[in-house]
Amino acid sequence: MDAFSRIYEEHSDAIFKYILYLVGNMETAEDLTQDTFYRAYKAQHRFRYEANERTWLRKIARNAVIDFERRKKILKWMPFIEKETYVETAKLPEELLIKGEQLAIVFHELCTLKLEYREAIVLRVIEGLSVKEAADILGWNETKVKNNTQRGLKELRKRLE
Amino acid sequence: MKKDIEELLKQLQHVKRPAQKRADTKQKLFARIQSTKRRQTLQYRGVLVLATVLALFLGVLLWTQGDMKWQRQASQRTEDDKTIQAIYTNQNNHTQYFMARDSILYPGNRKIASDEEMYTFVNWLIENAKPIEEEREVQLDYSEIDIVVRYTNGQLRHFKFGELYDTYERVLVDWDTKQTYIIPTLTEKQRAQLQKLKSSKSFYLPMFMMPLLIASAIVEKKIRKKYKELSRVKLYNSWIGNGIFMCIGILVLSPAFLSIYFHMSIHIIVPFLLYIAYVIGDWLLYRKGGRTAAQRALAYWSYFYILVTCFIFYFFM
Repeated sequence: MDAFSRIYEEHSDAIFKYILYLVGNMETAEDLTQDTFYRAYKAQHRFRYEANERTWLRKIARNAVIDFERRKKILKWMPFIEKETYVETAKLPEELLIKGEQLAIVFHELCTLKLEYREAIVLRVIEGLSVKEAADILGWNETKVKNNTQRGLKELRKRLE
Repeated sequence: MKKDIEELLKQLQHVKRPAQKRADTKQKLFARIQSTKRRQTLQYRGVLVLATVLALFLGVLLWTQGDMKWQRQASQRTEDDKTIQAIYTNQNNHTQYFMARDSILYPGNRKIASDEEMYTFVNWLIENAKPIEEEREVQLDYSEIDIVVRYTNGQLRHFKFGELYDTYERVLVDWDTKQTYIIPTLTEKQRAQLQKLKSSKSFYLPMFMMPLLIASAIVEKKIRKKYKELSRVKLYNSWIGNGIFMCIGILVLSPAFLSIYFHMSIHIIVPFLLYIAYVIGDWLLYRKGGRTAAQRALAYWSYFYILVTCFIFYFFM
């Protein structure tokens, strides 16, 4: 349990931020961070120690986000469920709002992009990972990572014009 | 704006997570882990208790229903008492093998209990059937049904219904003494009774199979947990995995082996179908370590589909 506590202390902030960029909501990001570490705890015996811990956690976080998106899609078709329960509004943390309106608009538009584009932009541009690292986390080939980053940025620019 | 987009995106790196939220999430996470541990311990105990109860139940059933020596010995003590306690039937087309046993746990067996009319009819048949002359060569054309009669004194008698090869007479063969008896002319009502006896089907094998399937699934889950939940793909590539796979196969297929031993070709089909469903379902469930909702649904569907097919097969074929 101590070892797992250490993992949480060391990586939870980075994982939280990664999830936040993908879902755009602080509360949801906290919930999914909890879910990610819970999944990691259950699967920790499967972790190969020569692998990078953060990469492994990012992969789990990505699956948690994908499951969350899937649930949202299903909820959309359920009768008697209020729209607020599945429509997430992108909420920028207050400290960034102070930095300016432009940043808030970019964040909001990023959160409405197609998930594939969002994933590529988050890893490549915001987190600054190499193409190879991003490809490893996303399970794509390097060309797809490059293409989705370029297309995502193009789409984002188009929307902000 | 165009040029600044990447710069703006990079600024998002400076998001800070509130310390309070971070601590709350940690607290919730560790509470969740603790509750899962407690639940798993309870589940483990529950499964153990259930398995023990099931084993005891099966043991008692076998002990009380088996064709035991003491029952046969009891017949020597009270030879005169010929009151029928129960009749067991088994549809069998083989003339060379006898399949019925005095237990419902054998594939294809059916117990006729507390049917006084049927008991009277069978008693009448046994008493009025005419023994065939010793010098006459007896050859059965085909067999219809095997029956085991258990008397209240514990004595067991085994009979086979069939038809003679040359004269097409309906006969009753006492399987213990190999004496053949010709069945007397039957009235309309008696013919209906005989038909009722012959049309008996086994309803017990599917029920017998279910605990086996469940037990095998639990065993597999426990073993996989013990060996650190190896995924199915990895399991098949290791010697432990192959061992587990073979054990499960033997466990699930045991009724089939039993069927082969008793020359009951028809009963081999059901366990095989169930086994195929089991393997396909699991393969879908653990394919490449993935467990999407679709794969799970397909797996459960394959279980359900094959099970329904088996039930239909048993009830209507």
